Formats: sequence, C-alpha cells, structure tokens
Amino acid sequence: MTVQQPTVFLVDDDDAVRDALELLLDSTGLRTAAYPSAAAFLENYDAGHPGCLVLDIRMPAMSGMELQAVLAENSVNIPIIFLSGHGNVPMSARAFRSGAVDFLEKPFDESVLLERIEEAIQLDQSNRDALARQTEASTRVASLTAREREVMLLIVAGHANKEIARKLKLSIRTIETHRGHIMEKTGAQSLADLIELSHASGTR
Amino acid sequence: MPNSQPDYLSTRHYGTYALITLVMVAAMLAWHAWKSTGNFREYHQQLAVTSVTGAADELEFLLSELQRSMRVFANDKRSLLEEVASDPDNDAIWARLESTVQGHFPEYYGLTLTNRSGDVMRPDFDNEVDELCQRDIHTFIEDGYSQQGYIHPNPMGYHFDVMVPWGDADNPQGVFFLSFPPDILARVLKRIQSPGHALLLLRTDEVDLIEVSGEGTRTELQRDFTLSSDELARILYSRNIPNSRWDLVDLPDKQLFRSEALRNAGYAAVVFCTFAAVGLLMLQQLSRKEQRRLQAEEQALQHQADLAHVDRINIMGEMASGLAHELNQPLSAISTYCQAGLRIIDSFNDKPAKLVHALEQASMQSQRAGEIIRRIRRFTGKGMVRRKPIDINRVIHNAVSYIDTEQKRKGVKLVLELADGLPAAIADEIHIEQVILNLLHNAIEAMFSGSDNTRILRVSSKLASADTLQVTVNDTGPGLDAAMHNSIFDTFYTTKKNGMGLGLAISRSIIEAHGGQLWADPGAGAGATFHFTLSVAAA
Repeated sequence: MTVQQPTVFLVDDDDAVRDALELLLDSTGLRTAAYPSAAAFLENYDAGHPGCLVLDIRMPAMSGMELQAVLAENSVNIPIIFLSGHGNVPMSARAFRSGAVDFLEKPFDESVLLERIEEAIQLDQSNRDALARQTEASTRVASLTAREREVMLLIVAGHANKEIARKLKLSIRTIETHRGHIMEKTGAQSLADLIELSHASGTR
Repeated sequence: MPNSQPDYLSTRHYGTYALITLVMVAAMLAWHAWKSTGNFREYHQQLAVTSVTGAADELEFLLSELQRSMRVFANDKRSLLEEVASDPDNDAIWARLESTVQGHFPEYYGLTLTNRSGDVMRPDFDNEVDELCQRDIHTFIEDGYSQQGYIHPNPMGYHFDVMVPWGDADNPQGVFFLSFPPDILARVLKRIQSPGHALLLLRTDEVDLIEVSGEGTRTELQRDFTLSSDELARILYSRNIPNSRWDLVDLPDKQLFRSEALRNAGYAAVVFCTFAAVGLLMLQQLSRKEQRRLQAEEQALQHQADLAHVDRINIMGEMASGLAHELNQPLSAISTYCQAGLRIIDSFNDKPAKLVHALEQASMQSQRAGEIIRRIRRFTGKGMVRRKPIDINRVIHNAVSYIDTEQKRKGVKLVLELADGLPAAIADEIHIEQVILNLLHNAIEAMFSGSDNTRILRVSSKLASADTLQVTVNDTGPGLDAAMHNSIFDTFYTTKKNGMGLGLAISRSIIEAHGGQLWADPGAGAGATFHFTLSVAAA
C-alpha cells in the first residue's frame, strides 16, 4: 500500500475565493485540488485518497449540504469543513448533525481555517489508520478455519482450554493445537493482542 | 377585504334611524291620543245637546200638559169653583174642592183660587201660597192670562206653580192655581241624563243657582247648590225651557274628559314604551351583530397588517442576506489573497515591511467589512417569529382566501386536496401563510406567461412521514427548465419583469428557519411543482 500525501479538496463556485484559497494552501505547502462544483468534485474524487474537504455551502445545482448527503450515502467518511457566505443557525446545526467538522462564515480568519484543515487531516488519517487496522485484522481472522474462529471467540470470551474442550466436545489436546495455530496465523503475541485483534476484525 | 356593506347600514346610523322612528311613532301616538280625546269630547258634546234638548222638550210638554189638564178641570168643575168663590170661607166647600183636585192631580202640593183682580180667596192656607206666588198671580193676570206656565219654586217647600184662568174663556173670573213638588221634574232629569253628565235646571235670572237636579231639589243636593265659575265654564250645552224661568244645562263630571285624556295618554305611553323596548332590543341585537362583524373585520385587517409587516421584515432580511452572500464572497477572496500574499512574503529573506503592513491591513479591513455585514444581518434577521402548533389546512384556506378574487377573475380553477386529520405543525402561522401566498402568486403568474388556456392551481397537504407535513403547490404553467431550476431560489434571481427575485428566496429562508425544506420538481412543460415540509408538533 502506497502512502499518499493528504490533499485538501476545495469545492466553491466562486472563482476568486477558490483561487485565493488555493494560493493560501499552496503557500503553506498543502496539496490542494480545487473544483468549481460538487459534480466536478464527485467526478474526480477517489475515496481512497486521504485529506479533507473544504466545501462552500451554497452553490447552484448541488449545494454543499446535498454533497454531504451524497458522500454519506456512499459511506465516504471524509471530514468536511463548511464555508458559508451567509450561515444561519439551523443550517449549521444540520451540517454538524450530519458530521461536519466545522462551519466557518465568510470572510473567515485564515489561521482558523488552516488550523481546522490540519485537524481535519489528522482526523482523516486516524480514521484511515483505524480502518486499515480493521481491514488487516479482518484479513488475518479470515485466514482461520471455521473451527479455529470458534475456538478464538471462546478464548477471547475468557474461557480456559478445559472449558472450551468440554463445550465443543473435543479433547484438551486438540484445543491446544487450535490455539497454537490461531496465535501463529494471526501473529498475536499474547492473549491481549488476540483480544484486540478479534475486536478490530469485528468477528462475532 | 372589500367592504360589501353599504356605509349607511353601519352601527352609528342605526341609532339615528331608531331615534327618527321613535319620534315618528311618538308623534303618531300623540296625534292618535289627541284625536281620540277630541272624538270623545265631541261625542259627549253631542250627547249633552241630545239630552238637554230631549229633557227640555219633555219638561215643556209636562208643564203644558199640566196647564191643559187644569184648564179642562177648571171648565168641568166650574160650578164647584163658583161655589167656592161665592163662599171662600166655607171650609166644607173648600174641603170638597181639595178632594176633587186631589182626585185629578194626586201629586199636587198647594191649591188656591183668586178673583178677577188676583186676590187670593183664602189668604192663608198653611203658607203654601206665599207672597212670591201672589206676585206671580198678579203678573199673570196683568198679562191677560197669556203668559203660560209662569212657574217658579217656592222657597218654603220648593215646588212650582201652574196657573190657568177659570170662568168664561173670554171673561175669566180669576186664577186657578196649583203647585207641584219638583220631584216630577227631577225624575225627568234623572231619566234622561247620561252617565258622567248631570242635567241641571238653573234659574234664568241667577245662572249659578241650581233649582233642580237629577238628585232632587236644592235641599236634597249632595253638593253646593251654586255652581262654581269652573263648573259654569264646563257647561256643555244650555237651553231655555219655553214659558219658564228655567235654563236646562248639561254639566259633565269633572273627571270625564280629564280621565279620558289621561286614559288615552296612558294607552299611548304603554304602546310607545312597548315599541321602544322592542326597538331597543332589536337595536341591541343588531349592534351586537355589527360589533362582531367589525371585530372580524378588524381581525382580518390586523392579520393583513401582520402579513405586510412580516413581508417587509422578510424582504429586508432577505435583501441583507442576499447582499451579505454576494459581498462575503469577494471579501473572503480579498482576505484570503492577502493572507496568501503574507505567507509568500514570509518565505522571503528580505521582507518588505511596508507591503506586509499593507496586506495585513487589507486583510483586517475585509474582516471588518464582513463583521459589519454580519451585524446588519443579525439585526434584520430578527423577524418576529412566534412558533406554536398550527393547523396547516386552516393556513392554506387563509392564504387561498386572499387570492380568491384574483383567481376567480382570471379564470383559474383552484383544486384543494387537503388531507383530513393532519397533526398540528409547529410554525409561525403568518410566515407560513406568506410562503403559501408566494407560491400561489408565482403559480398564477406562471400560468399566464404561457399560451395554454388550461389553468389549474392545485394545493395539497399530506403527512409525508410520522413527523413531517408536506404541502405541495402545483400549476399548469410552463414549468421550470434546468437553468431556472438551478437558480430559482437564489436571491435576486427573477424571471418576472418587475420582480425583485426575493419571494422564493425568502420562502426558502422561512421554511429552512423552521427546520423544513422547500424545493421544486425539475422539468419544463409539465407545470411547476413546489413542495415544502414542516415538523409536526410533538404529541
């Protein structure tokens, strides 16, 4: 997996605002990709790309709020910072309810925006890391046989080998063999590791 | 709301009409009472004339009948009279005369006989014939026995005298004299006088002295035997009895006319009071009705004023909001450009201090401008919003009533499809009504921009989800093409010649401020359809 540099995606229909923001972000060394409309953004956006979205709330055709809804529908979890030319309370409340990171009224203080962007990128990164961990764990758990997964769940639930053997009507020795395979395949160093891994994979 | 009631029917005129009517009724009743009293008086005047005439005739007849009978008697009993005259002091002969007279005139009171010169033959018969009588007898003779029925009362016993000559017709030997009690006169008066009236015989020479009334002679009267000046003035009719010293008059009871006048006035007053009471009650009812009408009108006016006020506030707010949006974009760009410039300069080794200052200031000033706009928006955005549970269908009906005349005049068919039993929405009624009105006006205007003559305006309400109400306004106009659909809600966007491009922007702001959504269905040709949603009040 190649590590991609996080990108700030800019969506604003106002050319001057877009251009100025691009210039500003550029000057701080952040990678930016600017789009004049929600449609243009959706066309080019790759959900796998890390970063955050700076989104104007009022645009013709598809508004910022509508774009937010589309992204949510497609389970895209990119952090969004809304920009508003005329923010009002109900609108910002709705945006926050739908998972916006922040809501800035134009003209905004650029240092605040940069701060928020940094936070948003970090948030995205940690979201992605968590997701990656989950994916990794899932892959490892997926390599276990059905019986091994069953035994793992009982181990994670805190049962001793003897109890597991009685429950599954198997010999203690067999359970011990399964346990060895499980530790080996998942790469867990300890019981604590295994528990964490099992939770991360979401296996039930 | 046009005032369909003509002005002359308003409350303040009711009072005037009622007053005029009352005055007219009062005048009518007064006239009627006066007329009735007059009729009554006239009737009793007639009655007085009739009774006086009748009684006078009867009395005259009575007196002349007595004289005739006495003349017949004097002729028949001439020998007896001559016998008495030849020996007036003979008690036996006198007694015979008395009994004979008694047989013919059972009511007689006094009796005498005179000679040719009028001297009474028996001077003293128990004072029954006094000096007055003798004087009258002389006068009778001096007049040549021609003055018939020369009658008068005797003060001793209140009787009246009747005289006739006796002896030869062409050569009378004296006077045959009889006196009678006045009861026979009183009986006539009593019989003929009408209720409420008294027939009185008065002396011709002393007009205030009562001789005989229906009650009897002077001594028998229950009252003063003279008439007061009041009573004299009240006499309705008076007539002299021929060949007598008496006038017969009709005196009505003191109360007769006054009580009649009072009765008539009382009757008029009762009728008037009844009329006035009924009139007042009706007036009160009318004025109550009028008051209710005025109240309703006032409420409608207040509602209209509220709507207009909200409209102004909203227009101001929307203009400020639109301006803010338009200005905030370039301000934002300016500020960001400056910041970017500052960051670029930051990387220089030799920083131009003046340029840094200029950029910093430019950035600050654009922030300041943004702050000013925010303040104005906060100020104008403070519309009076009073949210409470409202019946959305009632609000729709209210809004529709405003365009009712316009829609009918223009021949637009209005179809209402309102769901029954909708829960209450939480909203400001005036604001929501404004939104609906906006949509209705737009729809009507849109339908007249196209050439299609089918003009149907459809308004529907329904429960969109458990906690959302949806109102839809649909027209048969040209609909919205893609470009219009994109910008129709933008502030200052308009397709109308005189539009400001605020209506839909305001409407959307209002609905969004209520936590709802306002949107349009895309597509040209099929007519435009607008929807908005509102939250249902928590049960």
